[in-house]
Amino acid sequence: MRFERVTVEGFGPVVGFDVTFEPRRLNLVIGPNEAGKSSFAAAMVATLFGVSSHEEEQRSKPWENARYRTTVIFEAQGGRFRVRRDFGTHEVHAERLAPQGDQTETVLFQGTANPRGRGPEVEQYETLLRGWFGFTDARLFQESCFVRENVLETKISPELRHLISGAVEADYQEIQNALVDRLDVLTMEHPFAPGVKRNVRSIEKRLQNLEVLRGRLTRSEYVLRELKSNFAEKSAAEARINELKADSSAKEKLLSDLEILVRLREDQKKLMKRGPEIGIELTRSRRARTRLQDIDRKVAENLSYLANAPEEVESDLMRLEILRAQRARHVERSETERKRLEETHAPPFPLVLLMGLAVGAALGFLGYAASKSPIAAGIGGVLGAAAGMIAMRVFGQNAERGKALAEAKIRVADDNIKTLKQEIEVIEIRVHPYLKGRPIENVIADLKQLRELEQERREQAAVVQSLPIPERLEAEAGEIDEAVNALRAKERFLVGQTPFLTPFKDDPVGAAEASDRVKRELTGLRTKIEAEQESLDRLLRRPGGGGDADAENLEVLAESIEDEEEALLREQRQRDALVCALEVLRESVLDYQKEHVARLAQAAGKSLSHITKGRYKAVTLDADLSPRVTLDGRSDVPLESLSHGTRDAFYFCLRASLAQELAAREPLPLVLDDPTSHFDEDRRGILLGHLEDLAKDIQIILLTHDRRVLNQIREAHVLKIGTEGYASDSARKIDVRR
Amino acid sequence: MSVRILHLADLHLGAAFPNMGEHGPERTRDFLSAYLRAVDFAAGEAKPVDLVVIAGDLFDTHDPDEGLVFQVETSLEKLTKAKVPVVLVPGTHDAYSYRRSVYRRLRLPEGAHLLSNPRLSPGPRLTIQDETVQLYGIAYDPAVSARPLSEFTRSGVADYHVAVLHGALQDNPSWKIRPSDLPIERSEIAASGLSYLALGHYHNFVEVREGGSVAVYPGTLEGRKFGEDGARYLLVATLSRGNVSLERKPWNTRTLSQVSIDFTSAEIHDERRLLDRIAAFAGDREIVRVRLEGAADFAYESERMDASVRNRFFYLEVDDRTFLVDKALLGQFQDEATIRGAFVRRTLDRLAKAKTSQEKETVTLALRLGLAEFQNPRHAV
Repeated sequence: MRFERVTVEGFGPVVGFDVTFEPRRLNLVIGPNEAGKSSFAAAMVATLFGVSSHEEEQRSKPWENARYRTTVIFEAQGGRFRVRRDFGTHEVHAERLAPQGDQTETVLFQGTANPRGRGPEVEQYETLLRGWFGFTDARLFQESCFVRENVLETKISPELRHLISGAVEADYQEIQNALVDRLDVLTMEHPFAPGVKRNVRSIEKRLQNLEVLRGRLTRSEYVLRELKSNFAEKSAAEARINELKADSSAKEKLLSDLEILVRLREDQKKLMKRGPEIGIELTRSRRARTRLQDIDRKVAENLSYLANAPEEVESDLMRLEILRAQRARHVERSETERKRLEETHAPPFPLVLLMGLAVGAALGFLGYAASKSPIAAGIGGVLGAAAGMIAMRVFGQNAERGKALAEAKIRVADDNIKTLKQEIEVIEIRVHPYLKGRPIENVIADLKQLRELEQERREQAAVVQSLPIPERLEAEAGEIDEAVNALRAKERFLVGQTPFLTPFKDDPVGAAEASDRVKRELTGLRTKIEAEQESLDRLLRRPGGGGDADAENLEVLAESIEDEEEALLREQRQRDALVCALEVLRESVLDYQKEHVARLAQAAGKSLSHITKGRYKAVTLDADLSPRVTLDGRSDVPLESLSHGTRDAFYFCLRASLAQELAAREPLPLVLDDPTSHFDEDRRGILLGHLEDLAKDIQIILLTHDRRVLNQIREAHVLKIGTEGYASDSARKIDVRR
Repeated sequence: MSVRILHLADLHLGAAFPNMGEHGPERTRDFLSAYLRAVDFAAGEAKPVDLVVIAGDLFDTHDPDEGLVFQVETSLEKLTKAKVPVVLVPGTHDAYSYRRSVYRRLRLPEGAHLLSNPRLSPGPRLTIQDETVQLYGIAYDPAVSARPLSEFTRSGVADYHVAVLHGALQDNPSWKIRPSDLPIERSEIAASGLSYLALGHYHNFVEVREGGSVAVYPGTLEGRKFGEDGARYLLVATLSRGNVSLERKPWNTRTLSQVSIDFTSAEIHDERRLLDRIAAFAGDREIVRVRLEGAADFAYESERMDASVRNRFFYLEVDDRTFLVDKALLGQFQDEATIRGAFVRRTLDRLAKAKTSQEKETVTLALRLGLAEFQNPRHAV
């Protein structure tokens, strides 16, 4: 591709500038700084591709009041084309020209082609661009064609990598690194060497996290299942226990009912027994009271005079009576003795003789009767007479003695009577108030009676004391009746409530037996309850059964897992995509190297050989695109070891080859923006020589402010910019031939 | 004569929103506030409802913190003091089966009934304005009763039979229903003989009328996840002889919405315009997921972009599904004699050879990621 003519009506500082380039000679655009050289270069690209950003569009508005429009005539693919672009309206006019002159052959496109917009018109125009250059990217064009200021001072290989990557911001290695970095954040499981060592990789972390979450979910499900089955078992066990407890409490109730029934019966019996007792007590009490009244009356009526008699009265009276009796006895004895004294006399003698004779006669007779002898009779009579006479004599003496005795006795009795009389008098004075002429026996008898009555009264009073008062007893009797009635009512109620009790109403033995039976059953039930309780306790001790173990919330876990899975899936997709992108990128690099780099090197080598008159034969590029050159049969000299001039030459050769390679159709022109400004004269001269040679193969447009260039060029088409306005045209072009 | 039921479900009290960062706790409070406002409404002096039913997932988890439980207890007291009976059933999130299930410790005032039987069984029979309402309920436990309505029969005679159930209506094929979600079917609703089936579990409003029975999902009062978009409503069902009418009051404090921005049709060619487009949905009450679609012809870093516009939303989520380049651009790259060209060619080649849709997706994403990196301004020197 070659530019033929560029007309700038207005683009930044460049206004009304029209230049015609030569296809096979070095085109030199020369102008001072700020003359608008760069803007002019930009205008060439912008005419074809448009302005890619709004800012740039604003920046490039004509400084003067000129039309924001440019026209480019160029040659490509064997045809001549004219493209006119109005940047104010984005209107583009593209036409094919006749092989010679300004004659329009065909209008190829007429419409709006703003690269920032999309639409069928833009696409149509892009098809045109693709046909001319093989691409539609302004930047790619720019990067391919433009050689920036100072570029020769930078290293070649990075720039080359950058260029072949696609004229973008990064070279393919940087892109690869960026992709690997992104991949590396996601996972460590990938075949590419990471730029940075990382400990935490998102995917692995998520996988771990997921594993943990799933584990927690499984565990929670298990715990919940256990919990549920435990709850079920527990509630079943609890139900059983409750049933048993209900049963047992029914039995307990029955038992207590039975006991109550028995007790009711007993209470009734006790109460019923108390009834007659109360009757007896009542009678006794009443009788005692009557008796007390009787006694009191009797005492009041007959014995009131003794009421205040002191204790000793009784003994006094007794003694008095005894004394009196003694006195009477003594008086009586005295009188008796006196009488006896008067009557007592000694027997008279005749009587004594008679008595002797009678006894002797009796004895003599007896003796004669016994022996029949008168002697014996006589002796007996004599003896008897003697005996009778003696006896009569003894008798008389006794009588005399008795008389004396009686007189003594009378004396004693009289003494006693005297003594007694004194004592009796003392006592009589003391007991006089009570006697008052009453016979003492009566008084004693009264006193005795009083004492007896008093005794009896005390006894009766004790009886009365020991018994409740009759009213109370009567009330109690009433109460008992009531209580019995109440008990009966209770019993009826109880039996009514628990029909089981009916047969035991009047059968205490049966009731006792039933009670025993119920007690046994109750014990059995309690044992069962204990067993159930124990199994329940065992249940509670089981895992998930007791303690505090609880499941985590399944829904929350499930949601977390879902979120995590979603994120993981996204990241895995991204990982797969990144791996795929990296693979493709690697293949693409290999592809490119296989397809283009060798050719690039060959083309560059050819140019270099041509320019250096065969001094340098060939160029090789290794995998990193580090160039080496073959010098006079010595192969592989690193570029760095060559002179500046040779290196510059090599660079331009390479760029030219690249421009050709990138376009893939025909070489693009090279537009050089002041690459020589810092060069010394020699180097500049050599470079210009190289460029002049290169210009035979591809179009070269050199923009510079350096007027010294003019002195060094041998053959060039010189265009001035910004010196005397922009009214330049072909008339101003200078042909320098030396 | 009619019975008015405030039908609540899926209140998810105590739900955390870790994605929302510092706004998370505020969002949690939104949920509680929506519930408490509903309670205030029901306990109001005008007596707008006769009965409150809560069809599960009152709490977001089975073991919420004590403060929250206390607040709920207080709210239930408020209702019962206003003579509004409450019927609750546990849901999937606050299932009864857990040892520390909140329902094992929730102190219910008289007039609040927790139906904790894992089978659909009769609950209290209430008399409301001389009409009887027989309630039924089931505590979520799929191990006991997997199909709650399959064996259901009405109990006794009542003017209205109302069941409260946290389960999944198998109505929409797109709903993801697990077998453990207590599935119910339209035919079962038709055969149930229920006047009203108060459902919970599905978070959007659904009304099903089958064979004289009306089954309703009230939806959430505040959107919990994207998909619960737009206005959320408080649902009051009025049961009268032979008719059930539903009244829905807008109730949400904040609104969830999902929007998509198509780069191609919206003619977005730079980041500023994109930000303007996103900002059009901004607001303090807005919880927005923006899905970017179409072909982008400029590179942007979504993280940086998010940060600049995020604080104008209560919450913003950007789901970037754009293609960095459009087809024409790809075609252009394809012809390039560059590594980028080779990359595009090879990727398109892989895409053509990809058999499964998943492979296609991977390769497409690879192309997108690769080209994004080729054009990433980050690399600009």
